[in-house]
Formats: sequence, C-alpha cells, structure tokens
Amino acid sequence: MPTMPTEEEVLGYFQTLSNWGRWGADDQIGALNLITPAKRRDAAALVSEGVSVSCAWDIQSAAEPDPAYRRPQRLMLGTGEDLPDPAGGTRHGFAWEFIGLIYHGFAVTHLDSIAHVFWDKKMYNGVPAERVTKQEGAQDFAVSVLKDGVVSRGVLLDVAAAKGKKWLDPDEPVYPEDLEAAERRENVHVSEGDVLFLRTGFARRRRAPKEDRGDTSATASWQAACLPWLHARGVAMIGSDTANDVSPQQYEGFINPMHLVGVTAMGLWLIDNCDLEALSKACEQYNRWAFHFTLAPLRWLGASGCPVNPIALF
Amino acid sequence: MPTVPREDEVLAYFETLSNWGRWGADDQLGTLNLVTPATRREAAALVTEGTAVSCAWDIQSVADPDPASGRPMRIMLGSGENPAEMEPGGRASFALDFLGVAYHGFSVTHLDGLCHAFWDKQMYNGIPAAKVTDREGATELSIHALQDGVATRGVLLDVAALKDTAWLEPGEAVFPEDLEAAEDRQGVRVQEGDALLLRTGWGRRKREPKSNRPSTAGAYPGWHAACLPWFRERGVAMIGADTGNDAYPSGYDSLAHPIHSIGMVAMGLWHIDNCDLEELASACERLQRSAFHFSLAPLRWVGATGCPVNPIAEF
Repeated sequence: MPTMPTEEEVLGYFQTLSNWGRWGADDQIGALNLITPAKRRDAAALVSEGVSVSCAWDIQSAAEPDPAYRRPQRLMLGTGEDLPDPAGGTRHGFAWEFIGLIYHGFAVTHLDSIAHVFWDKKMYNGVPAERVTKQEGAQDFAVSVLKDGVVSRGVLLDVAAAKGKKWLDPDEPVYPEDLEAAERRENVHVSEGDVLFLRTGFARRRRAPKEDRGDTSATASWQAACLPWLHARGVAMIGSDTANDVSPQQYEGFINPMHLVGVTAMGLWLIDNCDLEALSKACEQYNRWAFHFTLAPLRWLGASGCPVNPIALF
Repeated sequence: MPTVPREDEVLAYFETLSNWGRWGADDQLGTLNLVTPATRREAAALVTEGTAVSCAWDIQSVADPDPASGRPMRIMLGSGENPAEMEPGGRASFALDFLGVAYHGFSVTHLDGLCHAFWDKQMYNGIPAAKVTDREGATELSIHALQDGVATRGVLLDVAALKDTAWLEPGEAVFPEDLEAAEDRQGVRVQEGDALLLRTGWGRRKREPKSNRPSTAGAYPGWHAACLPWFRERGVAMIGADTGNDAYPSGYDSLAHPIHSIGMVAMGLWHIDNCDLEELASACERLQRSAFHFSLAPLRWVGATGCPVNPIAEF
C-alpha cells in the first residue's frame, strides 16, 4: 500500500521539486521548456490513423451551473429570428453574439496558466503575486505566453481501467504506484516532455444519474505523492477528468497541493476538468495510449487561463 | 487582367457552386467533409522541424476597440494585489477572471460557424435561419460541429509578397489569377481538403503607427467573389485571411459580402477572419515551403456562431 506523504513532506516539495531559476530568471513557460523540436517530431510520427479526438466538455449555457462560478453566458446580438423580408432588397443577414464566462472552477475544461496560483505572495520563479493586478491582469505567466500553442506527445494513464473500475471513489487518490501499474497495462512509459492525462472515470460519473454519481464535489485525483514522480519523469503538462486535486482536502495546513506545488514550485501547467471518455475509447480501439497532442490556448493578454479544447490525434 | 464576373453571374453562384445535399440533408460540416483521414496523415508527415507558429492576434482588453463590436473584456475577480486568504494556513491564493468578447468583427482572430451567414432567410443546406434563436443560439450549424477540431494540410498564399508590396490597398481584391501566380512563385498547388490562408499584408499594416495607416472607411483587401468557383474546383475545406476575408467594398450592389454569403450559405465553406499571418509568412520564407500541418481547436461552445481561435501551423 502506498503511504500518504505527511504535511511536512509535502511542504518540503516546495524546495526539493523547485524549478525556480532552472530555465532562467525571465522564464515564462516553466515545465513546458521540456518539450523540444525532436519531441514534437516524434509526436507527429504517431499520427497513423488520421483521426482526432477532443478532450473537452461542451460549454453549455443551459447546463447545471458550476458550483463555484455559475453558468457560461451567450448573449445573442443577431439571430435568424425576425429577419427582414428578402423581397424588400436585404437578402443577407448575420448571426452574432457575445460569449463570456468564468472558466476556473469544476465544470469548464480549462487551462490554468502559471499566474493562477500564489504561495506566500509569490508565483513560479519567485515572481511577486503583485504582478497580477486588477487593471492589467497577469503581467507575467498569462495564458498568452503560450501563443504558439503546445504540441507534444500526449499520454493517457487510465487508472480507472487499470483498477477495473467505472470510476475511482473519492477516497481513492492516485499514487505513483497506480500510475506505474497503468503504464504496465498500457505498455507505455511516460518520458520527458510528455503531456500526461490521468483518467479517474470522473467524467463517466458526471454523466451518471444523480443517485449513482453521489456528491460530485468529492473526487479522487492525483495524490500529492505524484509530484516528485512527475518531476522525475519530466512531465511538461498535466490534465485530468477532475480539477487535478483530491477533494475533500487531505491536509490541514494548505489546500490543493497539486496546484500549489505543481504550479508555483515546478511551473507545471494544468488542464482541469477534461472529458477523457472518448479519448479512453480511442486508446482501447487503437491499442495505444500515446498520441500527438495539441493545445491552442486563446492569446488573451493578462488572463490567468482560458477555456480550451485539447486535441489528441491518432 | 483578371476577368471580373458580372453581378448576375455572381448571384448565380448560389446555384452553380451549391453544396446543398452533397453530404446529406443533416450535414453540419460543409466543406470540412473534404478532409479525410488520409489528408490528416499526409499533413502530419509535413512536421519535419518540430516548430509551431500561431496565426492569431493577441486578444487585448486595452487596445483600440473593434469598430463593430467593442473591446474584449477581462474582469479580474481575484488578483495578486490583495490576495484573499482562501485557506487555513493563509499562504495560498488564486487569480481568477471572467473573459468575455463579441468576437465577430474586424479585430479578434475568430472562426465563423456556418450559421453565421443567412441568405434569403436560409443557411447552408437550406436550413431555416430561424434555427438561430435568441434563447438557444444556433441550434444547427454551430461551431460545435467541429468538436474534435480541424487537422489538415494548411497552405499560405502570400499575395502581398507576390505583388512585392508591403500590403494590398484597402478594397484591393485578390483574383484566381493572383492565387495561381502565388502558387507558381511558391511552388505549391492547392488541393482538396486544404485550409487555405491568404496574406494581404494587412497584419503588417495593423502594426504600423496610426500616421502610416489612415482610416480606410471600412475598406479592406480580401478575396474577390471570382475566387469562389476556384475554391470549389480545388476543393478548399476552409479559408482564412489577415482581413475579414471579403474584399470590401465588394463591387456588387446586392452582395456586400459575397465570400461570406455564397461561401457559407451555398458552399458550406468555413472562414477564419482576422488572422495574423506575418510570423507564418516569415516561417514559410525561412523554411522555403508553403504547406504545413494546420490545426484548429474551436471551443465546444454549444449554440455559438463562431469563437475566438488560435490556429496553429506546424512545420
């Protein structure tokens, strides 16, 4: 049985797993520095089927609101209702709208930029939290620093499948031992520069009838013990079908260690709330769990993240 | 000199170039049906350098507002100035923001869904315009049809470089003759399933100080309506440009936006408006090739008529 690291040990990760200074004092992209041109070329060579699969949920204005941040808003400014009679001479028309949302939270598939997380009033690389202001937004580590997108090898570790379960129970956090068991089952080895997805089956649980899915604010996810493992393997970015931290919290002195240590100490980018059901099926179908991965974040200056549609290409 | 079609000839494109029914009565993908698994495999084989280049502008909340639709909004709900103490130890906090934008217009790099354009109260495939409602948004032909993204071969035709000018003039239209001359100059041939990007140099013009780029009173360079039959013949799956795609004014009284109206409604042709193609053009020059792996990952926003995008070219 894996042992849960103590609170003191997790706090120690801020030092032992730190990437501060590793890529220079001005670095903006953190662990994504681990993706090289050679890695991208190898990833492109994985495209043998010519089939692409989304890892995102729909963004719905009519769905259940996010418990923390409510509903995405779509305000129609022009529609196809009440168009003028074409006989009057105006034959064309256009539909358009305003879209807006608070994407952080537990519903929307989104990227957390490094500017999302502060620890002791600092961000990754020791940059002061004050660099994120009300007026300018994030002046360092905004999502726009990934302007050319993220292209690399993606790997899915399907821990729910490895454990033979529909979904992991909330009291069943994922340890490095689980990741390695999934690697053995899938015959894949997570290596430097990978974008690593963890499937807990939570997306399936989100879709289940209310009486089956239970309290969805409680989820399994990466246990903090995965942080040294991710550091050792050189993972460039992580995503999961949860918000990437175990809930309810396991420690007294801090919340969300994957966010705190991962983002501020390691410069690790997170994709929260993926839907990995279609990806999992594709991996089973093609009998491989590695693929060409692309993420094209919006180039939104100052934003601490953005909604995304991560794409796996087989 | 290029042949300029008469207005009645352009209006006839609604019939002659129609793809209605071509991919079934329920089709939502239009010309993107021309992208096949084989196309995607061939596109992936173009990745030999391992470098990626964006074709988008930054989205700026503090820049000049779009003449049509105003400024993108970024409202900071949590910042690092007075970090709320969110947890027991009081050492952690989080930045949080609301993002909102009316992305259609002439500034934000965005995808137009096929439901964006109506003609005679209809959309592509004869679907009634009334299927786009105030309450539900687009219940047909929304960008949601592209939930798994677009991956295909991309081709840049650099007509500004062909004409040896910093940028095409406001209102200057690009004709099939220009496209073919650009193909010859660049040693590339547009083929079925391609995402075709047109550089007019407008990305460069937008970066000039205001004194060097006087107001154009709504005039832009772009594709002339005469390109529409050419797109159909070549099997272009998607178009993009560093302007709003239509040359404006169009030269036709009854058709202000023939590329949008005929392209979307009759052909089911997807558009990416307001790209920034300057870095892409530099990459093509440096690597001496004009074809690349192209990917687009639209937001899976149910009911939306388009969305801001960051199109990525991979070499």
